[in-house]
Amino acid sequence: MKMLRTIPLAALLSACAASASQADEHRQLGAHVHGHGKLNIAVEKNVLAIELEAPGADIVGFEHEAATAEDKTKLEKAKATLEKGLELFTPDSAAGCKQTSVKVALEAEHEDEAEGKGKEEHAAKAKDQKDDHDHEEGEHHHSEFHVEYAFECAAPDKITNLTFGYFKAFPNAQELDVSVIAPKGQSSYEVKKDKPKLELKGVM
Amino acid sequence: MIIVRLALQSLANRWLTACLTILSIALSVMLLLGVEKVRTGARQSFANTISGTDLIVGARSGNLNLLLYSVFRIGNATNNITWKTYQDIKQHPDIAWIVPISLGDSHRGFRVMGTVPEYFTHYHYRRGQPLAFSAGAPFSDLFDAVIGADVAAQLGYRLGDRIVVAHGAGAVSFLEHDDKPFRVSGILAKTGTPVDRTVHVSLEAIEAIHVDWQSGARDPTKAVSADDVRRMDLTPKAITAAFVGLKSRLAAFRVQREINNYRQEPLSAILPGATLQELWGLVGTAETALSAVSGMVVITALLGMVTMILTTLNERRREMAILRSVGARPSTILSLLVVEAGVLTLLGVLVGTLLLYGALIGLQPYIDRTYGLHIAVDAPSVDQLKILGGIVAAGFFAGLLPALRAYRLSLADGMTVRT
Repeated sequence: MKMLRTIPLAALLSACAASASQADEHRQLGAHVHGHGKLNIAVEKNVLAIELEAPGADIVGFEHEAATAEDKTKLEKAKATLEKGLELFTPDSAAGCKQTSVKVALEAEHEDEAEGKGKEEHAAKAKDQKDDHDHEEGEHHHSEFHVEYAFECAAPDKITNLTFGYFKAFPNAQELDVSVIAPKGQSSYEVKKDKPKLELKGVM
Repeated sequence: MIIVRLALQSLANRWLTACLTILSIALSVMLLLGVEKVRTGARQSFANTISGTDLIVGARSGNLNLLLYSVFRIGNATNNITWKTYQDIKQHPDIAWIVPISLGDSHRGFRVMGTVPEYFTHYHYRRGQPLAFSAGAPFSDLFDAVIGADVAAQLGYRLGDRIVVAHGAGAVSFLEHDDKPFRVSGILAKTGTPVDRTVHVSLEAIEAIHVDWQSGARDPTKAVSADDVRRMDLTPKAITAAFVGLKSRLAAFRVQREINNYRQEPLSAILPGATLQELWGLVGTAETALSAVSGMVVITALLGMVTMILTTLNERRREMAILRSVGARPSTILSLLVVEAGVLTLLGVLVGTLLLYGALIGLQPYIDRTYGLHIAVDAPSVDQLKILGGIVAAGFFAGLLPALRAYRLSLADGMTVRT
């Protein structure tokens, strides 16, 4: 009788230990708001660097793995548009900026297993189970575009404003939180769809 | 032109009321422009609280919270950063310098901050101005303290004075580190930033005064004397936050992301300048209210002027009648009064602007010294000129009310004066 009671207890104890070791793993997830992107602008000497982080919903209208041919063409088109940095974020022509490089990446995140072993692995996993990415399954996919631009400007101090063609190219996007690091200090702004222009007078 | 001369001469005849009206308009204009100047000055001073620091790193929390406790010494940290993490961040190849700070103790209501001597060279304010010592030097001994200008002025401290740090951040504390007093080794010049209200000591000193403390109280059985503590290992176990300078601004966002994703400990890195603007956005509603109030004052002054002209109309029936008798048309009477109101407003605006600039030039050094508020004396901006122009136009327009009345009267009364 006693024997019988001890066995479940031991099982319980080992189960506790197992869950404790699971608690050690690292779980964290960034915020993700549809319609709301982030734009980071940094200027040093003649280099103007712009970073865009935007939810997939803003750019292509969906965040699941591109499965159908239609989705795939949408994705390709969006990527091509994203690569034309000077059309999305246009500085004054007097500044003489030329795009020197661009890097477009699509990152996927899963809420249920944000273990963070590397984004590539997540993307691969998502491919394996592309049939069960319904929200009813308790699994939410979020994908985020991460674009890095580098521009070479003849006179970066002549940038007095930035015109956002971005909102026209991607009608789902509503708002961008803009952070600027310029020689005269840091500043932050909010640029909205209905006024797609950023005044930077006296900032550069 | 003759109308302007007539208006001026008519005003000269009533110089006392005219002068008072001009003065009230002048004062209202001065208030309006002054509020605007103080507003931009305050905004600048606020944005200039910290400069030259690319990132501030603290435990994971909201941007504003981290900025408030690390720069403004308002509120408390959500958590500390372990010394090991600090060392890790320090090794980052993009980081040019890093200055740790440790908060939590106070001295008679002023916060005590543990830091390293590099703080005094790297902490900049107001467009890259470094901290300056009005007396003394950074800490050289373990129990040296450098105090801000307000601390020195309000508590009357001088170099060499002994001060005792209290445990905790309250204004009144019953737990004091009185076994290990500090010596004032330096006094900083006024900056107009929270640095003025801070007592700076070394990180090791913060560690030293807590060596024989356990769970928030001193343990008498383990008392360590001030001399013995010098021989102990005083490497801090934790810091509250760190100011970071980068080698290149371009790396700022990348380093920020890396710190935010640091796996061993939940951290937040913020861009202090950008966060300051966010904070100002919250405080900024008050400035709108101020502008609204000063706008009201201008309207009141204009109304006062209209009242003044209206009340004198009755006495001036004879003046109007004489003008009519020498051939002035009713429309001339109308323009005469409109010009009168316009001239009064124009003079008021001019005098007000001059008074403001006189006051600014006279008071600016004083305001800078006592409040740390730097108000720039520069030409009014285009927007302000537009507002001033608007006020003058409003003056002319306001003159229409008494003018129309005089116009009607001059038609009805004809030449007779009924008394």
